[in-house]
Amino acid sequence: MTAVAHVVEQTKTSSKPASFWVDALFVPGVILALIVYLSSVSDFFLSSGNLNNLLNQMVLLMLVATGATFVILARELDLSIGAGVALTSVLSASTMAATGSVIAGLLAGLACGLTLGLINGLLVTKLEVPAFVATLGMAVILRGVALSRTDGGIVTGLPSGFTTLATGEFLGLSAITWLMIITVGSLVYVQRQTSFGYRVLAVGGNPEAARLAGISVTRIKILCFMISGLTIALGGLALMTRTQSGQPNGAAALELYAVAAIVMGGTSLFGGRGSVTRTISGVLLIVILQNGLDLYGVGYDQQQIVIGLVFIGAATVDFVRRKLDSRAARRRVRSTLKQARSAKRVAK
Amino acid sequence: MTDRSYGLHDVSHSYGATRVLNDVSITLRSGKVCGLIGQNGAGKSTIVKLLSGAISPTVGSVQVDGVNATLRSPADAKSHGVLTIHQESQLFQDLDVATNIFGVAQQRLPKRFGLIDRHRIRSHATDLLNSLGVDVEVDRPVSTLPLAEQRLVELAAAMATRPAFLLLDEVTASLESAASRVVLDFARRLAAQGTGIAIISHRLAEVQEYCDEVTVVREGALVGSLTKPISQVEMVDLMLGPQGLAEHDLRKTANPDVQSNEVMLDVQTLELPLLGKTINFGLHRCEILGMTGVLGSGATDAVRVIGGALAGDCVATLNGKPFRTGTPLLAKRSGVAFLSGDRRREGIAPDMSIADNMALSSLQKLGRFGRVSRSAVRKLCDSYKVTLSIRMGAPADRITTLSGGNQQKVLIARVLASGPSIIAVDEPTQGVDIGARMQIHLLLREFADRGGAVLVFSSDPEELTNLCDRVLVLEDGEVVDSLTGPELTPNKIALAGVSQAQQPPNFLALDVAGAHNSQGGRP
Repeated sequence: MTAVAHVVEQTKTSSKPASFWVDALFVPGVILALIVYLSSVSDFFLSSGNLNNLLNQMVLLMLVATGATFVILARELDLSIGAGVALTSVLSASTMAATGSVIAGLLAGLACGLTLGLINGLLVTKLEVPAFVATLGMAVILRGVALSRTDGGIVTGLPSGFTTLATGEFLGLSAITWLMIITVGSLVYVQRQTSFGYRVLAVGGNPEAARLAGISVTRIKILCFMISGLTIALGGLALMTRTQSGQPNGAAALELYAVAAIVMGGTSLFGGRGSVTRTISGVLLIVILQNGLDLYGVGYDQQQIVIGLVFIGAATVDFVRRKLDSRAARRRVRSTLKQARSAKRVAK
Repeated sequence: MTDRSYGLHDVSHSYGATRVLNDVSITLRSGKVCGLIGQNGAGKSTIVKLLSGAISPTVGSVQVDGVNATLRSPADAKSHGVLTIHQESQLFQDLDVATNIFGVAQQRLPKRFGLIDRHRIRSHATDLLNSLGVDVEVDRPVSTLPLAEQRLVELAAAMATRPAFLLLDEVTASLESAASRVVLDFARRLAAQGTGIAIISHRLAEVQEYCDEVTVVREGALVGSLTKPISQVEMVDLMLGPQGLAEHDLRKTANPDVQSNEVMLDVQTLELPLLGKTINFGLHRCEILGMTGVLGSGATDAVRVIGGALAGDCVATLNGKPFRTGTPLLAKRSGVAFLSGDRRREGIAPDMSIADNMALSSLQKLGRFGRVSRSAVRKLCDSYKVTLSIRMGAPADRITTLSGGNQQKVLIARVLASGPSIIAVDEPTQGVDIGARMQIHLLLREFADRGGAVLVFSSDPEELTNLCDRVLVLEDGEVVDSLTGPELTPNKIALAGVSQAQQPPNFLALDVAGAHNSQGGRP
């Protein structure tokens, strides 16, 4: 009897199972494969011109998706991203045009995004409006405000000081690329290394347990929405910089691409599991795919079809992972059982 | 009913890297009640999952009447006449009893002119309940029924498909002892009519009383099988194994050497939110104070208000300073940490690692300027792993890889790490096996001995006797008894709450056979 009991022992957990690597490396693997493929079929892909282009293309999505990751990790949702970006660009541009001050314009933009995040957070926590409803409602309102302030047209006439800032480069990278790198770097740090990041995961994983552990769930959720608000504002400023105007119709359906990037990266839509780092790879996948399709001359309309297919395909990774798990387990038990039986036979 | 058998044959099973079952064989027979016991993590719930068809064995086979069968889902098991009732109710809480009976049995709803025939659903359900001797109104939404009646409805509904075997997986876990009896008496009657029953339970007294035969699992293997008459001592010996026994001998944890007369938490008025009444009491330094009472007595609420889990007015001083509560965060800042026995709902963050779960209440201490040092978190985990003897893999493994008892120890570590003056705990060892339970009691005692104090709610008289220095019995929002020293026995605790039993809830009228009325206390 004791011999049997002794056979039951856990295999060492220090070496991660195959499923872990499938989960963690699937998207980066696909990205790598895509890069290898695209650079082999097109000399243009790895040219500095295209790489710069690629970076500028990804700024907007990268900013808002990494910010919104906090909201999703906390088991909430932010659908006001696209409209928020549009309104930020409009408010910031019109402030700049009216006052002639770049600083005032930037501050107006930041204030717009942060206020949006605060309102979203208060609606969801204090009034207990479901995030889907609250942020969708805000999206409709914000788009309406942006359009009515501009009568549907774009806002131009930005001061020349801003134009210099926008076209300026540092170490070969544009201002908005630097904005993206610094922001995303800080967000990765906040999510992985700070107590706030830990608390977000706890709140998303089990809100009641988090509350009873002495975490203010309300405060954490509001802060998550405000982080998303901040990246919405930065996204709006990036949009304005790139187009040199306020765009009331800009960033349409951006929130859906953000959710797609977050989920493709491997963050759970139901909160508690995932990371900002994963979202970065989700964004890279979408943007590189778009860029590659551009190189092939596939139009924007058809690109959407491909991205949709890849999005759904990425969601099946979890299924593959579970299949691998059970197969590996079966193999392991068979071999240990065989050993145990032969050991018994030897004992006899 | 003919004589049938159902069981596992030489089954081994593993989840991921962890092997949980090893060459296990077990057989259920028509008309017999078979018990399955073991500590948490022994492999009990895996056996149930295999028998119910929820998972299929990694190696080995499921046998129906001695012939190998492949079960790919609970529906396959059902086609072989095997039904499982789970610890968590499978009823649709907002639908009425009649509709639920059709839902659980997965029968087609009767229709008339293409529309659902409400009348026939009702009469069908009434007939079924009558034939089984269950007296429940079929029109009531399930959520309005007492828990015991809900369980009966679930059992009755299961019987609608005339299963040959019924697995009862911890069905009495959420019930008080009188209510458990009602349910188990019913199961016993079903067995007398030829159904093969398996009872999986932590409550040894129940197993002893209701089972013809008991199978014991330990560390993934069958370690013995006992037939009537079954002694609890034998069951405990088998469950714990040679190592566990030494710990089991440490019974009473109270430590008279460190008694203190200093009142640490002086509660002048504590309003019980649902009852609208107030109580007052004092909690001494080095004391473990128990609170108990039936559901609705306010005993749980009192502990929860102190812990901040339940909002309620409370005027009190802690170490001479005013004590503020209302939310767990406020209570924590005042020096009280709250711990719940309902780990899944109120304790763990299931996607986070063991170490991260442990660190949740003390993050600000584990780094500076809002940063959390990963190595500090790992060190915290390593040190509590040793002091609380937590059986676990790597600190980075998910918390859900641990058994219930070890999860509870991780949560105790979380509470201890936050450095509280007082721990308020609601059901400290709910769903935890005997070995881990003794260890948890000792941990709480050590905390009190070092100058802390513990306020405990438990519905288990024996646990209160072993753990507490003093027990307050509540009834209808009033403290009706205070037991200490030699007066503190399981029987006294059960008797102190006896006046409620004078008006038995209606479900007791069902069938409480005269033979089964010994009160709560175990030998």
